[in-house]
Amino acid sequence: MESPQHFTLKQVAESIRKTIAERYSRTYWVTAEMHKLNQTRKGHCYPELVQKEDESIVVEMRGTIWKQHFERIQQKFFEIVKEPLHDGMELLFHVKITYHPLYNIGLEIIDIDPNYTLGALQRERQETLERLNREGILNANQDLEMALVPKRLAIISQADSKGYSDFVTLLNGHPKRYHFSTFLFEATLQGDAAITSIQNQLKRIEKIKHHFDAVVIIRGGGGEIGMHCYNNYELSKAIATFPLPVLTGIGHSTNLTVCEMIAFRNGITPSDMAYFLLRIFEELDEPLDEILVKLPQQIQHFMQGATNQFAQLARAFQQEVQAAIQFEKNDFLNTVKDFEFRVKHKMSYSNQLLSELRNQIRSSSSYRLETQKRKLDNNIDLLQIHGKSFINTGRQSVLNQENQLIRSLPRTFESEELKLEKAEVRLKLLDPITVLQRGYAIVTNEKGVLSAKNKSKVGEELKIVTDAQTLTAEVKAASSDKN
Amino acid sequence: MNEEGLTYEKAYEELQQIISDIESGEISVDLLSEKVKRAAALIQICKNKLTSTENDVQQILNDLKSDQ
Repeated sequence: MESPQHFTLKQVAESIRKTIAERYSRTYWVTAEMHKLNQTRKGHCYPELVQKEDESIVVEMRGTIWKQHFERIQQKFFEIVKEPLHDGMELLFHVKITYHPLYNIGLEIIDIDPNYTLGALQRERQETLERLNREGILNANQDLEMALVPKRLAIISQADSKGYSDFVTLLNGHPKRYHFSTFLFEATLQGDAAITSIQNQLKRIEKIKHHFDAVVIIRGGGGEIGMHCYNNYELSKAIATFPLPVLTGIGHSTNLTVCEMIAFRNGITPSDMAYFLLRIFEELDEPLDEILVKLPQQIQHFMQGATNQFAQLARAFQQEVQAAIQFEKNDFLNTVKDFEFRVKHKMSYSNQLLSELRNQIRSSSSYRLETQKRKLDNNIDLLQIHGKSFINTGRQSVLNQENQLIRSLPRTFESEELKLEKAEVRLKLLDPITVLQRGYAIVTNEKGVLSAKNKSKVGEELKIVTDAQTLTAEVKAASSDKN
Repeated sequence: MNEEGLTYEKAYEELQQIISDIESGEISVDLLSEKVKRAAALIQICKNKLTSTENDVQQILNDLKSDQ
Protein backbone atom coordinates (compact mmCIF):
# COMPACT_ATOMS: atom_id res chain seq x y z
CA MET A 1 0.00 0.00 0.00
CA GLU A 2 1.41 3.26 -1.15
CA SER A 3 1.56 5.67 1.62
CA PRO A 4 -0.46 8.82 0.88
CA GLN A 5 1.45 12.01 -0.14
CA HIS A 6 2.23 14.11 2.84
CA PHE A 7 3.42 17.70 3.34
CA THR A 8 5.26 19.39 6.03
CA LEU A 9 3.39 22.06 7.91
CA LYS A 10 5.83 24.58 6.45
CA GLN A 11 4.90 23.41 2.94
CA VAL A 12 1.23 23.86 3.75
CA ALA A 13 1.88 27.29 5.19
CA GLU A 14 3.97 28.26 2.18
CA SER A 15 1.22 27.02 -0.15
CA ILE A 16 -1.43 29.05 1.69
CA ARG A 17 0.85 32.10 1.72
CA LYS A 18 1.44 31.78 -2.04
CA THR A 19 -2.26 31.24 -2.75
CA ILE A 20 -3.32 34.17 -0.68
CA ALA A 21 -0.61 36.40 -2.08
CA GLU A 22 -1.74 35.54 -5.59
CA ARG A 23 -5.44 35.66 -4.84
CA TYR A 24 -5.27 38.90 -2.84
CA SER A 25 -2.53 40.67 -4.70
CA ARG A 26 -4.15 44.13 -4.42
CA THR A 27 -5.13 46.18 -1.44
CA TYR A 28 -8.73 46.68 -0.10
CA TRP A 29 -10.71 49.23 1.90
CA VAL A 30 -12.35 47.42 4.80
CA THR A 31 -14.60 48.75 7.56
CA ALA A 32 -14.21 47.18 10.98
CA GLU A 33 -14.30 48.04 14.64
CA MET A 34 -10.90 48.36 16.19
CA HIS A 35 -11.55 46.39 19.38
CA LYS A 36 -8.08 46.88 20.87
CA LEU A 37 -5.13 48.80 19.43
CA ASN A 38 -2.45 46.76 21.25
CA GLN A 39 0.49 49.12 20.74
CA THR A 40 3.82 47.62 21.68
CA ARG A 41 6.75 49.42 23.25
CA LYS A 42 8.55 49.36 19.96
CA GLY A 43 5.72 51.40 18.45
CA HIS A 44 4.12 48.68 16.32
CA CYS A 45 0.40 48.01 16.79
CA TYR A 46 -1.48 44.74 16.55
CA PRO A 47 -5.11 45.83 16.68
CA GLU A 48 -7.89 43.29 17.11
CA LEU A 49 -10.38 43.95 14.33
CA VAL A 50 -13.93 42.70 14.91
CA GLN A 51 -17.35 42.85 13.40
CA LYS A 52 -20.34 42.77 15.73
CA GLU A 53 -23.91 41.80 15.12
CA ASP A 54 -26.38 42.45 17.93
CA GLU A 55 -23.50 43.39 20.22
CA SER A 56 -21.76 40.04 19.85
CA ILE A 57 -18.58 39.50 17.84
CA VAL A 58 -19.16 37.45 14.74
CA VAL A 59 -15.76 37.96 13.06
CA GLU A 60 -12.37 38.68 14.55
CA MET A 61 -9.08 39.25 12.76
CA ARG A 62 -5.62 40.35 13.70
CA GLY A 63 -4.34 43.56 12.24
CA THR A 64 -0.83 44.90 12.01
CA ILE A 65 0.32 48.52 11.78
CA TRP A 66 4.01 48.94 11.49
CA LYS A 67 5.58 51.74 13.45
CA GLN A 68 6.45 53.94 10.44
CA HIS A 69 2.86 53.67 9.16
CA PHE A 70 1.31 54.12 12.56
CA GLU A 71 2.99 57.46 13.26
CA ARG A 72 1.79 58.89 9.96
CA ILE A 73 -1.71 57.40 10.30
CA GLN A 74 -2.04 58.61 13.90
CA GLN A 75 -0.95 62.17 13.07
CA LYS A 76 -3.23 62.55 10.06
CA PHE A 77 -6.13 60.99 11.94
CA PHE A 78 -5.70 63.33 14.89
CA GLU A 79 -5.46 66.39 12.66
CA ILE A 80 -8.74 65.63 10.97
CA VAL A 81 -10.82 63.82 13.60
CA LYS A 82 -9.37 65.64 16.61
CA GLU A 83 -9.33 62.34 18.36
CA PRO A 84 -6.54 59.81 18.73
CA LEU A 85 -7.06 56.34 17.45
CA HIS A 86 -8.53 54.44 20.35
CA ASP A 87 -10.28 51.23 21.21
CA GLY A 88 -13.84 50.73 20.09
CA MET A 89 -13.70 52.96 17.01
CA GLU A 90 -15.42 52.06 13.79
CA LEU A 91 -12.73 52.70 11.16
CA LEU A 92 -12.13 52.43 7.44
CA PHE A 93 -8.83 50.55 6.96
CA HIS A 94 -6.73 50.38 3.87
CA VAL A 95 -5.46 46.75 4.15
CA LYS A 96 -3.43 44.09 2.52
CA ILE A 97 -4.51 40.50 3.33
CA THR A 98 -1.47 38.61 4.54
CA TYR A 99 -0.61 35.19 5.79
CA HIS A 100 2.15 34.53 8.26
CA PRO A 101 3.17 30.99 9.17
CA LEU A 102 3.33 31.96 12.84
CA TYR A 103 0.60 34.53 13.09
CA ASN A 104 -1.85 33.09 10.60
CA ILE A 105 -4.18 35.15 8.45
CA GLY A 106 -4.09 38.86 9.18
CA LEU A 107 -4.59 42.29 7.76
CA GLU A 108 -1.63 44.57 7.29
CA ILE A 109 -2.96 48.07 7.75
CA ILE A 110 -1.37 50.58 5.41
CA ASP A 111 -3.71 53.47 6.10
CA ILE A 112 -6.83 54.53 7.97
CA ASP A 113 -9.25 57.01 6.39
CA PRO A 114 -9.90 59.71 9.01
CA ASN A 115 -12.72 61.26 6.98
CA TYR A 116 -14.75 58.10 7.36
CA THR A 117 -14.46 58.33 11.14
CA LEU A 118 -15.07 62.06 11.13
CA GLY A 119 -18.19 61.49 9.07
CA ALA A 120 -19.34 58.80 11.46
CA LEU A 121 -18.75 61.06 14.46
CA GLN A 122 -20.54 63.94 12.77
CA ARG A 123 -23.35 61.62 11.86
CA GLU A 124 -23.61 60.52 15.46
CA ARG A 125 -23.70 64.16 16.54
CA GLN A 126 -26.37 64.96 13.95
CA GLU A 127 -28.43 61.90 14.88
CA THR A 128 -28.24 62.75 18.58
CA LEU A 129 -29.40 66.30 17.88
CA GLU A 130 -32.25 65.12 15.67
CA ARG A 131 -33.37 62.53 18.19
CA LEU A 132 -33.35 64.98 21.09
CA ASN A 133 -35.31 67.37 18.91
CA ARG A 134 -37.83 64.69 17.99
CA GLU A 135 -38.29 63.86 21.65
CA GLY A 136 -38.81 67.54 22.40
CA ILE A 137 -36.03 67.76 24.99
CA LEU A 138 -33.46 69.68 22.95
CA ASN A 139 -33.99 72.87 24.96
CA ALA A 140 -35.28 71.26 28.16
CA ASN A 141 -32.27 72.26 30.25
CA GLN A 142 -32.07 75.75 28.74
CA ASP A 143 -35.74 76.30 29.60
CA LEU A 144 -35.07 75.82 33.30
CA GLU A 145 -34.84 78.82 35.57
CA MET A 146 -31.44 79.41 37.09
CA ALA A 147 -31.40 80.31 40.77
CA LEU A 148 -30.95 84.04 41.21
CA VAL A 149 -27.80 83.46 43.26
CA PRO A 150 -26.31 80.20 41.91
CA LYS A 151 -23.79 79.61 44.66
CA ARG A 152 -24.21 75.92 45.47
CA LEU A 153 -22.47 74.03 42.70
CA ALA A 154 -22.15 70.31 42.09
CA ILE A 155 -18.97 70.00 40.06
CA ILE A 156 -18.38 66.99 37.85
CA SER A 157 -14.65 66.94 37.17
CA GLN A 158 -11.37 65.39 38.15
CA ALA A 159 -9.71 66.59 41.35
CA ASP A 160 -6.27 66.64 39.76
CA SER A 161 -7.28 68.32 36.49
CA LYS A 162 -6.06 71.79 35.69
CA GLY A 163 -9.55 72.79 34.59
CA TYR A 164 -11.02 72.01 38.00
CA SER A 165 -8.32 73.82 39.97
CA ASP A 166 -8.51 76.85 37.63
CA PHE A 167 -12.26 76.97 38.05
CA VAL A 168 -12.28 76.74 41.85
CA THR A 169 -9.35 79.16 42.19
CA LEU A 170 -11.14 81.75 40.06
CA LEU A 171 -14.43 81.33 41.94
CA ASN A 172 -12.82 81.78 45.34
CA GLY A 173 -10.32 84.41 44.25
CA HIS A 174 -12.72 87.23 43.44
CA PRO A 175 -11.70 90.48 45.16
CA LYS A 176 -15.23 90.84 46.56
CA ARG A 177 -14.81 87.41 48.19
CA TYR A 178 -18.01 85.95 46.81
CA HIS A 179 -18.63 82.60 48.34
CA PHE A 180 -19.50 79.52 46.31
CA SER A 181 -20.20 76.20 47.96
CA THR A 182 -18.67 73.63 45.62
CA PHE A 183 -18.86 69.90 45.95
CA LEU A 184 -16.85 67.69 43.64
CA PHE A 185 -18.24 64.57 42.00
CA GLU A 186 -15.30 62.85 40.37
CA ALA A 187 -15.80 61.38 36.92
CA THR A 188 -13.93 60.42 33.80
CA LEU A 189 -14.29 63.26 31.36
CA GLN A 190 -13.15 61.90 28.03
CA GLY A 191 -13.48 58.82 25.92
CA ASP A 192 -16.29 56.30 26.01
CA ALA A 193 -15.87 55.73 29.74
CA ALA A 194 -16.99 59.31 30.33
CA ILE A 195 -20.51 58.52 29.11
CA THR A 196 -21.47 56.23 32.00
CA SER A 197 -19.13 57.91 34.47
CA ILE A 198 -20.75 61.32 34.04
CA GLN A 199 -24.26 59.81 33.94
CA ASN A 200 -23.65 57.98 37.23
CA GLN A 201 -22.57 61.18 38.93
CA LEU A 202 -25.60 63.01 37.52
CA LYS A 203 -27.81 60.32 39.08
CA ARG A 204 -26.10 60.80 42.46
CA ILE A 205 -26.52 64.56 42.25
CA GLU A 206 -30.18 64.23 41.29
CA LYS A 207 -30.90 62.34 44.52
CA ILE A 208 -29.66 65.30 46.57
CA LYS A 209 -30.52 68.04 44.12
CA HIS A 210 -32.03 70.22 46.88
CA HIS A 211 -28.47 70.95 48.00
CA PHE A 212 -27.50 72.53 44.69
CA ASP A 213 -28.38 75.37 42.37
CA ALA A 214 -26.53 74.04 39.33
CA VAL A 215 -24.26 71.32 37.99
CA VAL A 216 -20.97 72.28 36.36
CA ILE A 217 -19.11 69.85 34.13
CA ILE A 218 -15.49 70.97 34.07
CA ARG A 219 -12.77 69.52 31.93
CA GLY A 220 -9.51 71.21 31.12
CA GLY A 221 -5.94 70.53 30.34
CA GLY A 222 -6.82 67.28 28.64
CA GLY A 223 -6.14 68.51 25.13
CA GLU A 224 -8.46 67.92 22.24
CA ILE A 225 -8.90 64.23 22.65
CA GLY A 226 -11.80 61.96 23.48
CA MET A 227 -14.49 64.56 23.00
CA HIS A 228 -16.84 62.43 20.94
CA CYS A 229 -18.44 61.08 24.12
CA TYR A 230 -20.16 64.45 24.43
CA ASN A 231 -22.11 63.71 21.25
CA ASN A 232 -23.46 60.50 22.74
CA TYR A 233 -27.26 60.38 22.84
CA GLU A 234 -27.57 58.88 26.33
CA LEU A 235 -25.26 61.43 27.95
CA SER A 236 -26.81 64.32 26.03
CA LYS A 237 -30.29 63.20 27.09
CA ALA A 238 -29.19 62.89 30.74
CA ILE A 239 -27.94 66.48 30.63
CA ALA A 240 -30.93 67.85 28.69
CA THR A 241 -33.46 66.32 31.08
CA PHE A 242 -31.52 67.07 34.29
CA PRO A 243 -33.71 68.97 36.80
CA LEU A 244 -30.98 71.51 37.59
CA PRO A 245 -29.24 73.79 35.10
CA VAL A 246 -26.13 72.05 33.76
CA LEU A 247 -23.17 74.29 32.87
CA THR A 248 -20.37 72.97 30.72
CA GLY A 249 -16.77 74.09 30.52
CA ILE A 250 -15.01 71.29 28.71
CA GLY A 251 -12.44 73.40 26.88
CA HIS A 252 -11.62 72.41 23.35
CA SER A 253 -11.47 74.17 20.02
CA THR A 254 -13.36 71.78 17.78
CA ASN A 255 -17.01 72.05 16.83
CA LEU A 256 -19.40 72.32 19.73
CA THR A 257 -20.50 68.94 21.00
CA VAL A 258 -24.17 68.12 21.56
CA CYS A 259 -23.75 68.28 25.36
CA GLU A 260 -22.39 71.80 25.08
CA MET A 261 -25.17 72.81 22.71
CA ILE A 262 -28.00 71.57 24.91
CA ALA A 263 -26.47 72.55 28.27
CA PHE A 264 -28.04 75.47 30.13
CA ARG A 265 -24.88 77.43 29.41
CA ASN A 266 -21.58 76.55 27.80
CA GLY A 267 -18.27 78.16 28.52
CA ILE A 268 -15.38 77.75 26.11
CA THR A 269 -13.11 76.91 29.05
CA PRO A 270 -13.53 76.23 32.77
CA SER A 271 -12.25 79.79 33.39
CA ASP A 272 -14.89 81.14 31.06
CA MET A 273 -17.55 79.29 33.07
CA ALA A 274 -16.10 80.65 36.34
CA TYR A 275 -16.24 84.20 34.92
CA PHE A 276 -19.83 83.60 33.84
CA LEU A 277 -20.83 82.62 37.39
CA LEU A 278 -18.85 85.46 38.95
CA ARG A 279 -20.48 87.85 36.49
CA ILE A 280 -23.89 86.83 37.85
CA PHE A 281 -22.70 87.74 41.34
CA GLU A 282 -21.14 90.96 40.10
CA GLU A 283 -24.35 91.92 38.33
CA LEU A 284 -26.24 91.38 41.56
CA ASP A 285 -23.58 93.17 43.56
CA GLU A 286 -23.14 96.20 41.30
CA PRO A 287 -26.60 97.62 41.95
CA LEU A 288 -25.99 97.13 45.68
CA ASP A 289 -22.74 99.10 45.49
CA GLU A 290 -24.52 101.69 43.38
CA ILE A 291 -27.25 101.89 45.97
CA LEU A 292 -24.65 102.28 48.72
CA VAL A 293 -23.29 105.28 46.83
CA LYS A 294 -26.67 106.51 45.74
CA LEU A 295 -28.48 106.13 49.03
CA PRO A 296 -26.56 108.82 50.97
CA GLN A 297 -26.84 111.10 47.94
CA GLN A 298 -30.53 110.39 47.69
CA ILE A 299 -30.99 111.05 51.37
CA GLN A 300 -29.02 114.27 51.12
CA HIS A 301 -30.98 115.25 48.06
CA PHE A 302 -34.19 114.34 49.78
CA MET A 303 -33.29 116.28 52.90
CA GLN A 304 -32.15 119.24 50.79
CA GLY A 305 -35.46 119.07 48.95
CA ALA A 306 -37.37 118.91 52.21
CA THR A 307 -35.32 121.79 53.64
CA ASN A 308 -35.85 123.90 50.53
CA GLN A 309 -39.49 123.09 50.51
CA PHE A 310 -39.74 124.07 54.14
CA ALA A 311 -37.80 127.30 53.58
CA GLN A 312 -40.01 128.08 50.62
CA LEU A 313 -43.09 127.39 52.67
CA ALA A 314 -41.76 129.54 55.50
CA ARG A 315 -41.03 132.37 53.06
CA ALA A 316 -44.38 131.99 51.41
CA PHE A 317 -46.04 131.89 54.81
CA GLN A 318 -44.18 135.02 55.91
CA GLN A 319 -45.20 136.79 52.73
CA GLU A 320 -48.75 135.62 53.09
CA VAL A 321 -48.86 136.77 56.68
CA GLN A 322 -47.31 140.11 55.83
CA ALA A 323 -49.70 140.57 52.96
CA ALA A 324 -52.61 139.61 55.16
CA ILE A 325 -51.49 142.00 57.89
CA GLN A 326 -50.97 144.75 55.32
CA PHE A 327 -54.36 144.07 53.87
CA GLU A 328 -55.99 144.10 57.28
CA LYS A 329 -54.11 147.29 58.14
CA ASN A 330 -55.24 148.99 54.96
CA ASP A 331 -58.70 147.72 55.46
CA PHE A 332 -58.69 149.03 59.01
CA LEU A 333 -57.27 152.38 57.96
CA ASN A 334 -59.83 152.65 55.23
CA THR A 335 -62.53 151.78 57.69
CA VAL A 336 -61.19 154.37 60.12
CA LYS A 337 -60.98 156.97 57.37
CA ASP A 338 -64.38 156.06 56.19
CA PHE A 339 -65.67 156.23 59.73
CA GLU A 340 -63.99 159.55 60.32
CA PHE A 341 -65.40 160.85 57.10
CA ARG A 342 -68.86 159.61 57.93
CA VAL A 343 -68.65 160.95 61.46
CA LYS A 344 -67.46 164.30 60.23
CA HIS A 345 -70.13 164.28 57.61
CA LYS A 346 -72.75 163.28 60.12
CA MET A 347 -71.45 165.83 62.61
CA SER A 348 -71.53 168.67 60.15
CA TYR A 349 -74.93 167.55 58.95
CA SER A 350 -76.17 167.29 62.53
CA ASN A 351 -74.66 170.65 63.37
CA GLN A 352 -76.36 172.14 60.40
CA LEU A 353 -79.56 170.47 61.40
CA LEU A 354 -79.16 171.71 64.95
CA SER A 355 -78.50 175.26 63.92
CA GLU A 356 -81.43 175.04 61.58
CA LEU A 357 -83.54 173.68 64.39
CA ARG A 358 -82.22 176.30 66.72
CA ASN A 359 -83.12 178.92 64.26
CA GLN A 360 -86.42 177.27 63.70
CA ILE A 361 -87.00 176.99 67.41
CA ARG A 362 -85.90 180.48 67.89
CA SER A 363 -88.15 181.84 65.22
CA SER A 364 -91.04 179.48 65.84
CA SER A 365 -91.03 179.74 69.67
CA SER A 366 -91.16 183.50 69.70
CA TYR A 367 -93.92 183.38 67.16
CA ARG A 368 -95.81 180.77 69.07
CA LEU A 369 -95.39 182.65 72.30
CA GLU A 370 -96.72 185.65 70.57
CA THR A 371 -99.80 183.80 69.28
CA GLN A 372 -100.36 182.01 72.53
CA LYS A 373 -100.18 185.27 74.39
CA ARG A 374 -102.63 186.76 71.97
CA LYS A 375 -104.94 183.78 72.40
CA LEU A 376 -104.67 184.07 76.12
CA ASP A 377 -105.39 187.72 76.02
CA ASN A 378 -108.37 186.95 73.85
CA ASN A 379 -109.50 184.29 76.22
CA ILE A 380 -109.07 186.61 79.14
CA ASP A 381 -111.13 189.17 77.34
CA LEU A 382 -113.71 186.56 76.45
CA LEU A 383 -113.73 185.23 79.99
CA GLN A 384 -114.24 188.64 81.32
CA ILE A 385 -117.08 189.29 78.92
CA HIS A 386 -118.63 185.82 79.27
CA GLY A 387 -118.09 185.64 83.01
CA LYS A 388 -120.00 188.81 83.57
CA SER A 389 -122.94 187.73 81.46
CA PHE A 390 -122.89 184.25 82.98
CA ILE A 391 -122.97 185.60 86.43
CA ASN A 392 -125.77 187.82 85.42
CA THR A 393 -127.75 185.02 83.87
CA GLY A 394 -127.12 182.80 86.90
CA ARG A 395 -128.19 185.50 89.20
CA GLN A 396 -131.35 185.99 87.18
CA SER A 397 -132.19 182.28 87.14
CA VAL A 398 -131.63 181.97 90.87
CA LEU A 399 -133.97 184.80 91.40
CA ASN A 400 -136.53 183.16 89.16
CA GLN A 401 -136.25 179.89 91.03
CA GLU A 402 -136.58 181.64 94.29
CA ASN A 403 -139.75 183.28 93.18
CA GLN A 404 -141.18 180.06 91.85
CA LEU A 405 -140.37 178.28 95.06
CA ILE A 406 -141.97 180.86 97.11
CA ARG A 407 -145.08 180.57 94.97
CA SER A 408 -145.34 176.76 94.92
CA LEU A 409 -144.40 175.84 98.50
CA PRO A 410 -147.92 175.89 100.19
CA ARG A 411 -149.42 173.73 97.49
CA THR A 412 -146.72 171.28 97.79
CA PHE A 413 -147.19 170.88 101.55
CA GLU A 414 -150.93 170.23 101.19
CA SER A 415 -150.62 167.44 98.69
CA GLU A 416 -147.93 165.83 100.72
CA GLU A 417 -150.05 165.76 103.84
CA LEU A 418 -152.84 164.08 101.91
CA LYS A 419 -150.52 161.40 100.63
CA LEU A 420 -149.34 160.72 104.15
CA GLU A 421 -152.83 160.25 105.50
CA LYS A 422 -153.68 157.73 102.77
CA ALA A 423 -150.61 155.77 103.58
CA GLU A 424 -151.43 155.69 107.26
CA VAL A 425 -154.90 154.14 106.56
CA ARG A 426 -153.37 151.45 104.33
CA LEU A 427 -150.77 150.68 106.92
CA LYS A 428 -153.38 150.19 109.58
CA LEU A 429 -155.26 147.74 107.37
CA LEU A 430 -152.12 145.67 106.87
CA ASP A 431 -151.07 145.52 110.51
CA PRO A 432 -151.36 141.85 111.85
CA ILE A 433 -152.87 143.17 115.02
CA THR A 434 -155.69 144.59 113.00
CA VAL A 435 -155.96 141.29 111.21
CA LEU A 436 -156.03 139.30 114.50
CA GLN A 437 -158.69 141.66 115.73
CA ARG A 438 -160.78 140.73 112.72
CA GLY A 439 -160.68 137.00 113.90
CA TYR A 440 -157.66 135.60 112.03
CA ALA A 441 -155.06 133.54 113.87
CA ILE A 442 -151.34 132.95 113.18
CA VAL A 443 -150.51 129.23 113.24
CA THR A 444 -146.84 128.29 113.58
CA ASN A 445 -144.80 125.10 114.15
CA GLU A 446 -141.14 124.86 115.03
CA LYS A 447 -140.22 126.02 111.50
CA GLY A 448 -142.46 129.06 111.49
CA VAL A 449 -145.79 130.10 109.95
CA LEU A 450 -147.66 127.24 108.26
CA SER A 451 -147.93 127.67 104.53
CA ALA A 452 -147.77 125.62 101.31
CA LYS A 453 -144.05 125.24 101.87
CA ASN A 454 -144.33 124.50 105.59
CA LYS A 455 -147.01 121.91 105.97
CA SER A 456 -147.89 120.44 109.38
CA LYS A 457 -147.82 116.71 110.09
CA VAL A 458 -150.11 114.63 112.36
CA GLY A 459 -148.90 114.68 115.99
CA GLU A 460 -146.92 117.88 115.57
CA GLU A 461 -147.30 120.61 118.18
CA LEU A 462 -148.57 123.92 116.81
CA LYS A 463 -148.65 127.43 118.28
CA ILE A 464 -151.79 129.41 117.53
CA VAL A 465 -151.76 133.14 118.17
CA THR A 466 -155.09 134.99 118.31
CA ASP A 467 -155.94 138.57 119.21
CA ALA A 468 -156.71 137.56 122.80
CA GLN A 469 -154.43 134.60 123.57
CA THR A 470 -151.76 132.20 122.47
CA LEU A 471 -152.67 128.50 122.22
CA THR A 472 -150.68 125.31 121.93
CA ALA A 473 -152.42 122.56 119.89
CA GLU A 474 -151.62 119.10 118.59
CA VAL A 475 -152.50 118.13 115.03
CA LYS A 476 -154.89 115.24 114.91
CA ALA A 477 -155.36 115.00 111.22
CA ALA A 478 -154.03 116.73 108.10
CA SER A 479 -155.15 116.89 104.49
CA SER A 480 -154.22 118.99 101.55
CA ASP A 481 -157.78 119.68 100.42
CA LYS A 482 -158.62 123.36 100.43
CA ASN A 483 -162.37 122.92 101.02
CA MET B 1 -28.48 88.49 59.79
CA ASN B 2 -30.48 86.23 57.48
CA GLU B 3 -33.64 87.43 59.21
CA GLU B 4 -37.07 86.44 58.02
CA GLY B 5 -35.50 83.91 55.64
CA LEU B 6 -35.65 86.59 52.96
CA THR B 7 -34.62 85.41 49.54
CA TYR B 8 -32.14 87.53 47.63
CA GLU B 9 -34.85 88.38 45.17
CA LYS B 10 -37.33 89.53 47.83
CA ALA B 11 -34.69 91.53 49.68
CA TYR B 12 -33.50 93.20 46.49
CA GLU B 13 -37.06 93.96 45.39
CA GLU B 14 -37.83 95.61 48.71
CA LEU B 15 -34.57 97.53 48.52
CA GLN B 16 -35.42 98.80 45.03
CA GLN B 17 -38.84 99.90 46.29
CA ILE B 18 -37.32 101.87 49.14
CA ILE B 19 -34.81 103.55 46.83
CA SER B 20 -37.44 104.53 44.31
CA ASP B 21 -39.69 105.77 47.12
CA ILE B 22 -36.90 107.98 48.41
CA GLU B 23 -36.12 109.13 44.85
CA SER B 24 -39.69 110.05 44.12
CA GLY B 25 -40.02 111.76 47.50
CA GLU B 26 -42.93 109.54 48.45
CA ILE B 27 -41.48 108.90 51.87
CA SER B 28 -42.29 111.29 54.66
CA VAL B 29 -39.42 112.76 56.63
CA ASP B 30 -40.72 110.84 59.67
CA LEU B 31 -40.25 107.53 57.89
CA LEU B 32 -36.95 108.36 56.23
CA SER B 33 -34.56 107.16 58.92
CA GLU B 34 -36.54 103.98 59.43
CA LYS B 35 -36.51 103.29 55.68
CA VAL B 36 -32.81 104.03 55.41
CA LYS B 37 -32.09 101.63 58.27
CA ARG B 38 -34.17 99.00 56.52
CA ALA B 39 -32.35 99.64 53.23
CA ALA B 40 -29.00 99.21 54.94
CA ALA B 41 -30.16 95.94 56.47
CA LEU B 42 -31.41 94.71 53.10
CA ILE B 43 -28.11 95.59 51.43
CA GLN B 44 -26.35 93.62 54.16
CA ILE B 45 -28.68 90.66 53.58
CA CYS B 46 -28.01 90.73 49.83
CA LYS B 47 -24.26 91.08 50.30
CA ASN B 48 -24.32 88.19 52.76
CA LYS B 49 -26.14 86.03 50.23
CA LEU B 50 -23.29 86.63 47.83
CA THR B 51 -20.48 86.03 50.29
CA SER B 52 -21.70 83.77 53.08
CA THR B 53 -21.18 80.07 53.49
CA GLU B 54 -24.41 78.17 53.58
CA ASN B 55 -23.77 74.71 52.39
CA ASP B 56 -23.12 72.06 54.93
CA VAL B 57 -20.76 69.64 53.21
CA GLN B 58 -21.35 67.11 55.96
CA GLN B 59 -25.07 67.17 55.18
CA ILE B 60 -24.39 66.50 51.49
CA LEU B 61 -22.20 63.57 52.41
CA ASN B 62 -24.83 62.15 54.78
CA ASP B 63 -27.52 62.49 52.12
CA LEU B 64 -25.30 60.82 49.55
CA LYS B 65 -24.61 57.92 51.91
CA SER B 66 -28.24 57.40 52.90
CA ASP B 67 -29.15 57.09 49.23
CA GLN B 68 -26.69 54.34 48.52
